Amino acid sequence: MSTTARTDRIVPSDRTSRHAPGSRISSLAFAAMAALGLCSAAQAQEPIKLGILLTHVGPTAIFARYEDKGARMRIDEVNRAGGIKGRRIEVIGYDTEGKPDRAGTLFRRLAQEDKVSAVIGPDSIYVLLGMSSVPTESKVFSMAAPGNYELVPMKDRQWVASAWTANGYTMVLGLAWLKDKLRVGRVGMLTTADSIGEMIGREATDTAKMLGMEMVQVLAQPASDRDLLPSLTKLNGMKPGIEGLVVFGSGPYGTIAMNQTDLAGVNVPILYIGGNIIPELIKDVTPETGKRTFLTVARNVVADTLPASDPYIAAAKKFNADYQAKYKETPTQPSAVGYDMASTVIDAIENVGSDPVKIRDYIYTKQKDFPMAQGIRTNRTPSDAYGIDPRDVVVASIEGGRFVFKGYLKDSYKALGIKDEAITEQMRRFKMLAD
Amino acid sequence: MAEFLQVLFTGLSQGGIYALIGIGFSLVNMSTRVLNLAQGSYALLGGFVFLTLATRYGLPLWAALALVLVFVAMLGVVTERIVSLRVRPWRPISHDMAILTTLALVVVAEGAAFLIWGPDPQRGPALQRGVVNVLGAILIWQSVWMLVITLVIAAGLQWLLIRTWLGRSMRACAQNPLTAALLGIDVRRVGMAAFTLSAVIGALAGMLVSPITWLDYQIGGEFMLKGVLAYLLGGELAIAGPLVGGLVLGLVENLFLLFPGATGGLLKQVVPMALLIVMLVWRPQGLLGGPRAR
Amino acid sequence: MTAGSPSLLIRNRTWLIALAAYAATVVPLMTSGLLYADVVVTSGIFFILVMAMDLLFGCAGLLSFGHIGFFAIGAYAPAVLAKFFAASLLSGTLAGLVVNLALALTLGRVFLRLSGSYFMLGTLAFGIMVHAVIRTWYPVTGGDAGLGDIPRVVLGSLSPQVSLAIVIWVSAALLFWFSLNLSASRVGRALRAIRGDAVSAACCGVDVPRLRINLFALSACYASISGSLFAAYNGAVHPDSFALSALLDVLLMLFFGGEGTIWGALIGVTLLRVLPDLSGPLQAGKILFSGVLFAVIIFLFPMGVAGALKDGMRRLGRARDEVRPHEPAATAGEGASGQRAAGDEVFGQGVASEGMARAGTRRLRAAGASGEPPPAVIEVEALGQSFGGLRAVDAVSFSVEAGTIRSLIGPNGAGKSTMLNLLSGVQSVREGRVSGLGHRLEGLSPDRIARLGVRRTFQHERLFAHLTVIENVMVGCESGSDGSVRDLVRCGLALPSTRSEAQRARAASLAWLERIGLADRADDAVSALPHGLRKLVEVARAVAALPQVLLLDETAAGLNATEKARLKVLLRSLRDEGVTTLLIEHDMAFVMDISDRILVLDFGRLIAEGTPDAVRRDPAVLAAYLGA
Repeated sequence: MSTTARTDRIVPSDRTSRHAPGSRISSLAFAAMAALGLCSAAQAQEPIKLGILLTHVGPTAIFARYEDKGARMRIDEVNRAGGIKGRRIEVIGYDTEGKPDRAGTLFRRLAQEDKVSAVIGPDSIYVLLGMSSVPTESKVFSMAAPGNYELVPMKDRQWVASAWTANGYTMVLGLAWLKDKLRVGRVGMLTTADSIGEMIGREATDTAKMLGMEMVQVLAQPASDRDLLPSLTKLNGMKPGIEGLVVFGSGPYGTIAMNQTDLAGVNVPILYIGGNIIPELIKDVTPETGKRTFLTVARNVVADTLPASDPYIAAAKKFNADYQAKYKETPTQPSAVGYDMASTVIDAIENVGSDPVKIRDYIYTKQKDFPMAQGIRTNRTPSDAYGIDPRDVVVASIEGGRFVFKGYLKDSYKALGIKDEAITEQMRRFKMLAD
Repeated sequence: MAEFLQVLFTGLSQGGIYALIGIGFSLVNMSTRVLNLAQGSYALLGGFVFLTLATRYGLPLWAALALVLVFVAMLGVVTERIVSLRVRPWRPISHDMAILTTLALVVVAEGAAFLIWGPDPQRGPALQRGVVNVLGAILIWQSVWMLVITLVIAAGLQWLLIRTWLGRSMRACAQNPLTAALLGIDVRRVGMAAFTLSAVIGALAGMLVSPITWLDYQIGGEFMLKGVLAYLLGGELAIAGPLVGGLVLGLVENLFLLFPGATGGLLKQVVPMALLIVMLVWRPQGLLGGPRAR
Repeated sequence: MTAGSPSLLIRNRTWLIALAAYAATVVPLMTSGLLYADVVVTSGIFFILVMAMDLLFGCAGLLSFGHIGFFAIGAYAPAVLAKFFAASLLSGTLAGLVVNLALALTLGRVFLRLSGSYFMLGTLAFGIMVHAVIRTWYPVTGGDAGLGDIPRVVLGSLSPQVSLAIVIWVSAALLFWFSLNLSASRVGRALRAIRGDAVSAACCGVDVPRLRINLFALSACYASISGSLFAAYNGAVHPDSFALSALLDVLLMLFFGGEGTIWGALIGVTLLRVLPDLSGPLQAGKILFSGVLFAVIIFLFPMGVAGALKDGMRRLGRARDEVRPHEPAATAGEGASGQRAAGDEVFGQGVASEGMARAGTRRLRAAGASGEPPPAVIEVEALGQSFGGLRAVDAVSFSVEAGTIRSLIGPNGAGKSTMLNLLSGVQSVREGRVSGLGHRLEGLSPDRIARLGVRRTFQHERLFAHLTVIENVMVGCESGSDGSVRDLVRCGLALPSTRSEAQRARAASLAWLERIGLADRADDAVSALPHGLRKLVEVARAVAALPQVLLLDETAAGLNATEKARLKVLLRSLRDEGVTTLLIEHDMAFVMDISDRILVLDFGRLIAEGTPDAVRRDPAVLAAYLGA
């Protein structure tokens, strides 16, 4: 199986296959060599080393589990197809243990001792922030998946890019859907009492203003709290009442915040922001609450319920099916993120070889319209290492313990008449983009 | 008003859990002079085993409860044995080493829970689902039960300490273990009973709290910290100290939520420790007093 | 071995052991590829932090769970200053030191008031508090988002990473040198004495609270420096680096390496930095693994790698000594081993000739200078003490003249030991007045009283079990430490003056040990001595500082006849040198034989006072003793 076949699987039919020639040549060359019995010589070539640095403990460990599988799936595909120009990919995987300094140490180890071409990870924003200067100082590209890329210092973004499509900021933009489809005007917000919660609060307030909505009050409780009724009853007591609620928080906090809206009598549409984007993490959301909870997600999450006209539907379904076949489990958003992290780097290696600096340069300047398993295309530039249009995600709600497609976020922005410049302007303000 | 009542109740029910863990500390400490940091781990393991038995194996709640209590009682005995394994009559327990050993046990419990139950938070079955509305405040039935059971346990233990032979032995050990030994009290047995009892109380706390707070493998450490705080705040009166300490702690930290906006949530995370440090400065013996400062 | 500078030799050997052990750890790791540049550099950082904990725990027996807080503040100070004032790394480090010093001096005072376990819990609360504050105070600390952009260090034309590595290891080596000096010095001995028995250390003249608070502050400074280097090396700080799990790592390093040796920290840190790599395949079981490891170390090897090595060395050394033909040490001269066989009487006099000459002349000079009849060195007026309803001491007045032996007798519970506790400051005087050596003693702390020249022994021997026989005597001899910063710095820098002081103290202590016939057991652990000899060592510890007043609490109890005879000789010769002795004793023959005058207490009241003969005939005394 050639690598070209693989890329075709996840891209919509209208793609211009500008990556194909290189890959095709390499696979042809491989086939030729194999035919000539030179296979052993090819295998004797030094493998290409890729580091995987994920966080396998702590509350975000479940993401690493899926990301790791996704990334290894892509690498397996390449290796099974004979590697890149005959060179196999060798994976060196480490666990950050949730400690930023440990992650820094391991990144240096990957860069200096293991001499990897690039690193897939780190995934956790907390871990990344405590070591974000290490990729820059070791001149090895870090294909990270932070939930809040805007927090990564500007000076470090030349070596740290993000593969997480529907991140915190993108999820905030979902407010437009509430305004457009559900006519929500007054919103309240419950967030975690920490700096990321505060930042998301600011972003939501700003977005509400941009959309002509009113953010009535932003309340915060510590992320370790499990009784959120004090804040919710407070929000319920607002006069006049709120028409929508924004909830930010991952894990039990997010679920409890959603469920307790029922108890507190806040029966309004909820925009959810946070990490509960995996079926395991929403299984405790009550059906009544789930139905009025909306969030923005990557397309692969809702592949089954996407309209048939969606340009990415075939690719997303293909990815899901392959993943299901390989691991006997339903793929999730992080599975696709992991796959995309690996495929971004592999694409660069296929085109420019295994030199770490060249890989970085390629991803930031030449890799255009690169299709991702998350059902979106990236165009990274030196001032935008996130590289996607954040409105290019879909809105979903929770029904029967899974995510169900509700609509395209971009349509809502169009309907509300928000200009592209306003979004770019906001992305600059919130440091999603460099100035 | 409804807001204030809501915070008050949230504070009391959380405080009840802190108090239960704190009481466990207190029992062990009075009987053996060991600060058992693994106290929170009983809640972790008890809670997890309970929810596994009840939800995965579908055992009736009473059967699961009984099994958990037996299991945790054994854990308590094991802890006692481990902590005092190197103790000989001529070499009394080194408290530094004992406390470190229990700290190591916290990590062991955490690691075991991670291996068995993974990193994801889980929750167990509730005694009674649903809520009740009281003057505009919403009380979760499980929280109500939590508080009631805490008070019942505290009262029961108080009775045990005053009225029974075991309780009197414990108090004798608290006064002076040497004298207690001379009076014919088997100090080792009393210690073991204290460990067992505190493990059972810890597990009850874990089972009660799991439907509300959920459990994850790291929660043992968090329980431990809150229990220690309750215990230190309250003072060294065996039961009343940690009970009052826990309730006060729960109330104080939640009262900060009455602050407008996000400030309250931030303060809530710093205030408990600050409260403790202020207490150590002004009243090292705790709210209700006791022989702590040298 | 020359008698020249034993402390210097010890120090050199420690360096050697440390280096050898480090090499033994590092070389196999290096060849197996586990030890890479980053591990070497970061272990330098954590070495400083663990040293800080070891100074506190290994020396003074204080296990602080709060050092992760000082470490965090040290790390955040440069980050915060760089963010708001574009300050350099150096000024950030200094700011961290100032903040930590202030915190350690204020909070330390609170924590040190708490006893053992509560000290741990108090410091734990502090560590968690710091973590909570940096997590939540995000306008300043960046909260969950952490802070980046920490200024780098550049030395000349070297790259920032190499420069930083050099700065880290130079700092670590300097602090290591300082700690080793401190630990081997008078202050180190005083600290270990506190760890063994704080009351007893105070009675040797150690200002326990002050020394502990200053050591706590010093240790916080170490942690602060370590934190600043940590921040500089990582280029960013994030609260997750300072959570509870980081504290566990540091504790593991401390105990794995072996507490109380300082150099053990180096090995512990290196091994622990490598350990996660070793346990690679254990991914899921990693937490369990480190927990079990922790438990096993605490449990089976509480002394750690360094402790095991040291033990091995000592055993090796002992074996060598046994093989070597037994020759009297050159410094001992005609001392111990030869004399002991000749009988106690001879022994006592023989030794008196050398060791005492100095002391004797000093006393005589002192007496001569005053030119007056021997004054009363202790005056007690209407002294009282109650415990609940019990009058332990009730309106007692007496005075003791210089250069005499005075005994204090009475039935059990008569208040004798309480009297001694009041005189030595172990219990504070609430009623009445006590003056001694021209000073008012009531209200003075035990260490002040000890440094004025009043030393004591205890009813139940309270030697420092961790120390060797000679170290015990040296603690007494050196008059402890006033615990001042100056003292810590002098000892840490190993100034020549402190080194010669230490040599003199060692020589003098050895002379005292010869006087009680224990010179050949100088380097044994005190716990290895039989009870009677331990009591004699305690006397030596009390008299080694050449006190003017000696308070002995039932020292003769538990001694056999020979030992009692030895004690008698010693006390008499001390009297001849001008030492005033007040002793409590039950052995009437001993008392009658040795005392110049006797005080009799019963139910806290002074019922008789006079010469032995007078007291023996006193009807009140007879009544008290015979239970009339």
